[in-house]
Amino acid sequence: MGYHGDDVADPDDAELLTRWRDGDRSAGEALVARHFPAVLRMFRHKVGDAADDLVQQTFLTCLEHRDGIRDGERFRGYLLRVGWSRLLRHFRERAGPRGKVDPMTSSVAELAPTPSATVGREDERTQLLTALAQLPLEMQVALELYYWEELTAGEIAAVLEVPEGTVRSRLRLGRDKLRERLALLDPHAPDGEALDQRARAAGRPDP
Amino acid sequence: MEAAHDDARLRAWFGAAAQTDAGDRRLLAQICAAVRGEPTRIGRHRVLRRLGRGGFGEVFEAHDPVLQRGVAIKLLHARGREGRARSLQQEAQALARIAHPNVVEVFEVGEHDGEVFIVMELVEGTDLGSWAAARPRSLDEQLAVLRAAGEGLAAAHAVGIVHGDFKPANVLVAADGRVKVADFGLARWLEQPHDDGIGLAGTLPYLAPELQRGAGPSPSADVFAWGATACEIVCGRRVFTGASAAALLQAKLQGTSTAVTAAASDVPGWLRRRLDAALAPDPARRPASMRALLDGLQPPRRGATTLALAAVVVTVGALGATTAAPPCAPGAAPQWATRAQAVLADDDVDARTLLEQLRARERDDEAQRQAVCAAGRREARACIDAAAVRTGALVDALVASEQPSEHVRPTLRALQEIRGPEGCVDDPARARLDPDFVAAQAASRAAFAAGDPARARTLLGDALARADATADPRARAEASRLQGMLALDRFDADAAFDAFNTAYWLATSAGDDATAAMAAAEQVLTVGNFQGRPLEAEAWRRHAEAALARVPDHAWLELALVTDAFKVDHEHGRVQDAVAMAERAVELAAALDGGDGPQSLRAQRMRVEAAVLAGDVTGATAAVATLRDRTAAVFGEDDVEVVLADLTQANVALAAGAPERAEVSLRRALDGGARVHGRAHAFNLTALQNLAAVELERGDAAAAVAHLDEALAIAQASLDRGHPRVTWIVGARGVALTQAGRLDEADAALQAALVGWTASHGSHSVKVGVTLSNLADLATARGQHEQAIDHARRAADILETALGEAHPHAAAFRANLGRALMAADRCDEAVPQFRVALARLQAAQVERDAATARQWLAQCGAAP
Repeated sequence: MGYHGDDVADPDDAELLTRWRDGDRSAGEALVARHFPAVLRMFRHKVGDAADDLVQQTFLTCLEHRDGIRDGERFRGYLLRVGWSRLLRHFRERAGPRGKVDPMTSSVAELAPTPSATVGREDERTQLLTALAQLPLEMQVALELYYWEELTAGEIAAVLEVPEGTVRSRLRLGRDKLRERLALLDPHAPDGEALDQRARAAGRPDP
Repeated sequence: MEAAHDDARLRAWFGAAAQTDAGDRRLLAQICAAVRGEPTRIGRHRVLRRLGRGGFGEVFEAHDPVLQRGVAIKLLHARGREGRARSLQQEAQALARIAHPNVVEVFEVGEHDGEVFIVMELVEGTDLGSWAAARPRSLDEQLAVLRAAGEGLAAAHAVGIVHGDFKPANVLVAADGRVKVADFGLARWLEQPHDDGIGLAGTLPYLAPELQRGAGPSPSADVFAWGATACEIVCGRRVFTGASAAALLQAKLQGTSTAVTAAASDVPGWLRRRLDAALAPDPARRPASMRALLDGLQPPRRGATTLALAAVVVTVGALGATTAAPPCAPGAAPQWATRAQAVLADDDVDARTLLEQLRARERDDEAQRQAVCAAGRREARACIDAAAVRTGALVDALVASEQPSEHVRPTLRALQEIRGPEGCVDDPARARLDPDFVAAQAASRAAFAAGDPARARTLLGDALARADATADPRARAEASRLQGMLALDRFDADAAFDAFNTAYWLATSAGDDATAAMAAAEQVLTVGNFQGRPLEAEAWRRHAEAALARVPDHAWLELALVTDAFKVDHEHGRVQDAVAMAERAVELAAALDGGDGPQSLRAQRMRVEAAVLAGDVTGATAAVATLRDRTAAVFGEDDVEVVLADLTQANVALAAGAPERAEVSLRRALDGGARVHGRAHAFNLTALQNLAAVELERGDAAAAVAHLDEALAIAQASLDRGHPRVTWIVGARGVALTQAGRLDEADAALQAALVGWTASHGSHSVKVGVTLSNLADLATARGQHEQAIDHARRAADILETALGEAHPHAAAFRANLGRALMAADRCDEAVPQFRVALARLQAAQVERDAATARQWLAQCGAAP
């Protein structure tokens, strides 16, 4: 389940990391399993088929370069930070030397115009993902980290490597835009009660 | 507030979008594998996890990103050997030719990091050993899986691949029930040397003895391995055990009867025999092929050839006893002989015999009655009463008939089938049947035995009403059985099925094992032959065996079952089984009637038919020599048994290549059948069909077509549409029409037959082979030589695979292939075919076909 923005480093992750450093491969596996959903969500609906490789690379990078983690940083934060930077690099490589990839303005819809094969089948999912893809990349990821990974503004700032204040305003702006776009996409947006029911049904599944 | 509410809605939407799928789980597995240090990729495949490790190397589960499917990859410790990858590649190519649902598919072979890998179909399931141990499995379930595995082996053998390492670990049972055989031909890639024992430890208990001694893998060794596997699964323990490789070898060489018997006390006899055969130490004594082995287990992928057909036999004069329960007091002496005498002529030999027998029965009845009554054996008394009632009913029917003298023989025969008082055993339940019911039932039976089914049905109605009124399940069961017999008589298979079904279940629940066994036996015939579902028939057979085992002194029951089972085996071409059943029938009948009575005659006829089916023309000819006449002597000329004897004699004549003799017998059979049942009765189908075949031989195509038209009309009126008989007639018409020059009609008919046979018997059945051969002839007649050759080749392949190369019919088809080639002016190719066929036909002593082959050879300008 989601972490709830503690400032204290998660003891389980730290322990696993130590054991992994000492050569315990199953500890590494456990770390992977625990954080897989979060890393997956960073890439899944943004880069199409490349998601698998990017996810794997992110994990292997973090596990192999164990010293890259910063003091006080939680392992998941570390993963997401590495993932974010990997994501940017992916888009930049795709765009080529003359391409312009500015996370503050470019959206996934512009950067990867072909629809991802992994877009959800259900209407709500599709609509949400479509709306998200139209937002500037940084805004989109900020929202995702907020809703899916339940990071605090401070944690998001650490991942995106921007000031915390910037994150807050991104979130505010992002929510407004999202609602706007969702309303545009679906004039019959479900009312509160139906939404609640669906929300209960959707839950927060772990893979 | 609004912001919070909106926020909740947004959260809900995000929640819905967060779900994962199987692809995500695969990715996770792959990453974990990478973390563990296992290869993450082999070839283009992403490795997910290791599934296992063995002497050969490791197996991984992987994902093919190009074809988007799961695969299994076997990575072999095959480093460093020159040319190994190439050989393995060739092997994989060969394996890829199998493409059978019961064989794990091989997709590709390659090299990874210096090691050879094989990409195969991924089967989510367990191996056979684990499956069997997971929970108690019924014999049916076990056999279904074993058969499927056997089919996989047979498919591989058919393309020249042997397994070499068949064992429970190499049979995968998927979660959805599919069965797949894995690791074909990989035995030779094992790293461990043979005498180590460790590498082959998993294999040794299943390894054929000749392989253990160093011979190369062969189909026969696979048969052995299958047998050992099957035995272990079915018997619940390993067949061959030993502390060392040498000890294991000894155990195998000692032969299996002890091993199988020791391991398998509750395995049915027919299965034990199969396993014994498969586990013979000498490869030459095992079943000739996996196909042959499976035919013995499995319903119809194979059928009998055109020339020999099973007669459709109706059970007349049922066995089984009913009872009545008068109080234990001496009854009035029966007046059977006196009453019969009143209506019979004195100078009739048969009449005198009947009277003698009736008098004898009266004496026995009296004597037994006194004895058991004195001893207080109420139940035995009831049994005696029952026999008395039946005898009385027979006499009544005789006396009431318009021409008593004509009914003497049937009465005699029916009398023989009423077990006399000395055969009565104590059975408490029998004492309770309602006497009115018993009387009505007996009367109905008597009418049936007297050849008056209409009256029998009316009387049966009375019996049924009585059974319902008394709400007695035993009575109802017996009446249902009789109902079934009457339904079979008029070829109403569905009604018969329902009736026997009712009879069986009611009898079983009421504890009447004899009736249950009889009903189950009759159901074997109904389901297997009338409805064309031999697999189900096998299940009924097991019901019957189980029921009759609970009846003391059950030889007569067993004979009835064996007879019905024989008919089904014969119809479906299960040669070894048919022969075995016939022999058993002869044994049982001789024990019951001394070897000369009606039961023995029937059994001997079965034996002849079995010999014909097995291609043993010499044996069949010898056995049939006096059979027809002896049958007529016992049963009288106008009797079903005599017609059947004529048909059998015709079959033998046909098999021996003497069509003129066959024609005589067939016309006699047709006349007899017309007298017994009327011309338009399905009983006459066999005679009509075989007569047409003979007329074709003679070249009288028009007459053949006429007879087949008649047969088709009858068959369509009385049999289910998909019934194999109908298909046969349609196909035969096709042949006749070809010869009569009506080629378009012939094409339509043969195509229809091909469809029918493929549906009912399978695309590699003998029947399909025969039809293809007929299509070849048609194509030749139309000058379509390429087509003809193609059909003829396929036909020859099918028959050789199904019957074995040595079988005369298979050899004949090889000769037919030669002829098709000859017609296309390709004598150089035809001659070798003729030579091969000729050699085999001569060895099988089928002189007529051999002569034809010689003739064709000469036409091509070659010496034999």
